[in-house]
Amino acid sequence: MFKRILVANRGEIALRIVRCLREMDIESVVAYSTADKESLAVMGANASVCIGPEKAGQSYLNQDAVIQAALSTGCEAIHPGYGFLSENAEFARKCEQNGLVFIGPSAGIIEKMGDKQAARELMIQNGVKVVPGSGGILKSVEEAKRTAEELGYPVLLKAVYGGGGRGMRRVSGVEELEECYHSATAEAEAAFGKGALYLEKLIRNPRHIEVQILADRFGNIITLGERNCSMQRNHQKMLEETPCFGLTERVRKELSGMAVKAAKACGYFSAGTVEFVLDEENNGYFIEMNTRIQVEHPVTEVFTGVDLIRQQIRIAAGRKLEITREEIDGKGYALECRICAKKTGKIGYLHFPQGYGVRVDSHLYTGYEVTPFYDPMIAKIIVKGKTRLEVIRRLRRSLEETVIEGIPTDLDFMYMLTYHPEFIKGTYHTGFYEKQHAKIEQWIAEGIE
Amino acid sequence: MDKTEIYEIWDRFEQSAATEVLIELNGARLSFKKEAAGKKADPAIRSEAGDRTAPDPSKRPDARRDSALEENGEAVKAPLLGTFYRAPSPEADPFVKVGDKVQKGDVVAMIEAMKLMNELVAPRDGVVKEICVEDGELAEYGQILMWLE
Repeated sequence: MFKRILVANRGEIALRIVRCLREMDIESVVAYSTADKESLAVMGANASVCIGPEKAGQSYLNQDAVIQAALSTGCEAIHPGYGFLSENAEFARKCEQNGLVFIGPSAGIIEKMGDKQAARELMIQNGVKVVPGSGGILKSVEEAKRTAEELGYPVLLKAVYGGGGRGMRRVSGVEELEECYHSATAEAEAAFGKGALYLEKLIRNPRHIEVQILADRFGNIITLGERNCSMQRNHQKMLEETPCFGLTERVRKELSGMAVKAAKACGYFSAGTVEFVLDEENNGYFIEMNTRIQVEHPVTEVFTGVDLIRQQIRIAAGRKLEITREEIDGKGYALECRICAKKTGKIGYLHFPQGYGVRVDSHLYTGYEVTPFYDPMIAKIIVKGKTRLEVIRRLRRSLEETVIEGIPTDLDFMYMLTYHPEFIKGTYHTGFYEKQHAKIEQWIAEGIE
Repeated sequence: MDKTEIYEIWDRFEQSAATEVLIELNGARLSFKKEAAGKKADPAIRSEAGDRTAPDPSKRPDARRDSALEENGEAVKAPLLGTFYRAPSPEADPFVKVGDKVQKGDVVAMIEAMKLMNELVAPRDGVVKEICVEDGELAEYGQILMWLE
């Protein structure tokens, strides 16, 4: 097993990894930017090194600085967390070249799955269903028009090298296509350096369901259930639940079967997530694979009792999976609610929920300064229980207990959301926020009607 | 050095034509400064450990900050993370020593990162007052490597 690992991330995930390393008796070194000098991850680590200024491009995304920090401090491996360098094939390759273990899959696998179009083709070859769409990269507006006509509107234009909703456009008719094509290309070019687009049939009222997998280097693959991540704001997940309410056992089996096929197709090892879109008839289509640990991983952890970060580190060290599908305790329900800062500033009084079935992952403390440089997520509240109703109640009382003073947050919004009939029924889809947020905001302003 | 001695030195300094004096004695450090002749003296006293009567010998030298240096000096900070080297090669003489005069743009040290040597140059003309990092040690981003005055 490793003796010392560099944590190349910040915020709650850096803290999550530091805590795990401590439990595994592995030394941690946190690489941080000047903005995160006073962070819990830095304080909790065995050692820390400042790698650059606040701007992520010069610190957390600075591959050379991260690798040099690992080499200079005698680390054997780098945990990239999520975001930043976690899905960067070039970085994974650089780690390999410098004798460092990248905690994740190989550079080759990241490359294969990172190119959305190539991944799509690989899935088709391996019998995994994909959303009907263009055969490959669109060469012109004319080709886009022809394909859209064949599929039938509405369609979705997507950046081949994209993610997070950038370079993505919903096109409801031929008259919108040309403008969307050009603006999506420009956006993708600005965000990812490559403007290539492809086209998909738009699934109406889709649900975003993803399957967590763990795979070792010996070909053992297990699935750890699905997560319903349909509660989204501008393609950013707000709340996740497992299992997905209302899925039949047949659909569940089909999704996990496809997830295993997808992992096998690219020779996957490490923790990973296979994302699907579910249409109104519960047909699941592969969208992409995230070749890293995800923000919402704790919801699966509390549901299954498997420490995913620990497994990820063990797999990176060349160990075999220490669990089988049968051993996973997958009863009951789990929910995760993300809390985001609406403004930057200093945290005043702070109190997080406690008690039966509650877990909080957060890097906040009284006096902590929320800076404008990175993601606004400041806490994840995770609850577990026997039934879905029980976890909804537990989430409500957890949010009631939470006090975050000093900066405005979306805590009230998330609380009110738990009273929305569509959420309670579990029938919400990815369009929920867009359609319902005004109503929830009105509830906050006026009290429930 | 006791209180009476310090006051005596202070008095002497005020009467003298010197505008600056730095005394290091048995671990204590005393620095006085005043404006040139005709203007009122503005002495600044500072001991090694911040406590004139009981200096703590265990304090690391880099924890010490000379207020005169902070006011008038300029810190040379690490522009990137890497290994700090004072000389171009293990056999060679260091680029600079304490007391050396340097001109803006002179190479004063090197930082090795990803097998590349990055030259560190003096940000202004001055005298090297202090070198805060040992040769071959890791320098973090933004760490103060030396002081110029």
